[in-house]
Amino acid sequence: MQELATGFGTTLLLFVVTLVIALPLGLIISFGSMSRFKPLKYLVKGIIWVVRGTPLMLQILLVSFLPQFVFRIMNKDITAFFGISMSSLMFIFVAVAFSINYACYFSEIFRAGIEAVPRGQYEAGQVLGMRKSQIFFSVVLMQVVKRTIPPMSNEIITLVKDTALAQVLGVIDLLNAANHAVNEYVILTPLLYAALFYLVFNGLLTVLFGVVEKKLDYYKV
Amino acid sequence: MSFLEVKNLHKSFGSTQVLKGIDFSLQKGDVVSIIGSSGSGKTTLLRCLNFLELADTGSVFVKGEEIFNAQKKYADRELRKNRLHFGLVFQGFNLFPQYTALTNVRLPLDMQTKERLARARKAMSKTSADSVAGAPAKTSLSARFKAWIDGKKSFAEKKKQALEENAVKAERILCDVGLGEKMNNYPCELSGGQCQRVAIARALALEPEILCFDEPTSALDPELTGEVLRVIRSLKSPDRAMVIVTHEMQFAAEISDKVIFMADGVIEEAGTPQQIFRAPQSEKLKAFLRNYAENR
Ligand SMILES: Nc1ncnc2c1ncn2[C@@H]1O[C@H](COP(=O)(O)OP(=O)(O)OP(=O)(O)O)[C@@H](O)[C@H]1O
Ligand SMILES: [Mg+2]
Repeated sequence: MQELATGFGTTLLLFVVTLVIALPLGLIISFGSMSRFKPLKYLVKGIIWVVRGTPLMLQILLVSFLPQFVFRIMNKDITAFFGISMSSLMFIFVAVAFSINYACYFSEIFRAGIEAVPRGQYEAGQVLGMRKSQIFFSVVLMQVVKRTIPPMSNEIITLVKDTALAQVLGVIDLLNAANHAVNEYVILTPLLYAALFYLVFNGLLTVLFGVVEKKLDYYKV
Repeated sequence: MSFLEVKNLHKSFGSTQVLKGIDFSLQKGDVVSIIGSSGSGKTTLLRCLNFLELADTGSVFVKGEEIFNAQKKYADRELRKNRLHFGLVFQGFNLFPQYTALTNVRLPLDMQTKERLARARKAMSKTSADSVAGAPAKTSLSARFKAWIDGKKSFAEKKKQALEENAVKAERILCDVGLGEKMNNYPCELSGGQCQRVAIARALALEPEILCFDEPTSALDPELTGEVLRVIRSLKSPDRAMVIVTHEMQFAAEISDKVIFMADGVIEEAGTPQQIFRAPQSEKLKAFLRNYAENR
């Protein structure tokens, strides 16, 4: 039970960290993919293609084991080098992999949202003497937010479930903890607890997104 | 000296020449209507005046000052400043959907206020820093801190007051266009005619010297055009000029001091409403007016 609780905690932490990093990073990547500077645009699009085109599982493994591999070759102790425990280090690697992966998915959602804002909105801003940044932040952004909430909520719910992937690396995660418990007590209740946790978590998120969508109902884009 | 003078504007998109040398001028207080068949370049001309498109050749003068010359390169900041001589009301309103009518009108004003104050503040903190540096370095830290806080406070005060003035101004203009009751409604809660009046109010708030309209009633149901045309009529004033692209010939005839007929990227004919509508000279204008009379 203790182990399960820690599992909940780590899962939540991974979720929050990924969101906090991937949302702004996704916005920045979406700018890159719409850049008028062709080399940057194609570079970013290439990265998005690779990240979206390969399984998250492989990316997690790569990001986690490549540094360890390199340190082994150089004959250095990786935990000593970073000065933190192996499990914390693993958590960081996993969080990095998740953040990059989700940032790429988010960036495509943002790009679609930004491109859907009619040109007339930019032109109205320009004619009214606004700067580009003023147009983006005061005129365009809220319209993008409104347009992107439904696809975003899909992606975020998938993220909740994807956190289960972290178990392969032994970063204590919910399913992992449940698995241990199952082995020990040979009963399935821990797995059911885990399922319940994901279900409730996603249920709460769905309600939350519903509320936000309702809140933004006062204008149409 | 003309209030607005446009010289030899050319504009092409790829290989299609859309404007093939546009010259005209107008005086303060003038209302000029631009008519012409679809694709003749009317919208492109207005967009060039507002720098939404940059003309390939030609120049634009306001009160004798050259504000645009295709030969020169302009920084974004300069274009931004120069385009404020003009206002533009779009065919499709282009209101900001997430803001109320009042905020739509206030927003550009508030942005300018904030920018102006930020600039003033920078200038002031620079001079005060200079004076501190010039003075014997005895000014105590606490005194300097106090001065800094006071400066911040007085600026906050000024800003609040200026924003308040913007709100009052925006409300007044909205009342002028007959929307006193609808100030706190969102664009999706307004009719097309009301939206267009908000858009007009928004353009007016910046007090442009030359207000341009691109078919302001074309997106409206016929029964809503009247209220918008009435507002535009009421804007005729000795203090500004208006350029109106329109398909409403009756309205153009009635309101204009001068009518410009465009065809294939050139001004085919220009004159008083009398001359254009009663005594058209060119074959193209005659055909256009005949066509219009048949189709209405
Ligand atoms: N951004 C653009 N790229 C390419 N061609 C353009 C562009 N904008 C306008 N054109 C072309 O320029 C020509 C003139 O267009 P414009 O919109 O100025 O005509 P208009 O007189 O306003 O017509 P309407 O009465 O239909 O509004 C058209 O043939 C149009 O296809
Ligand atoms: Mg047009």
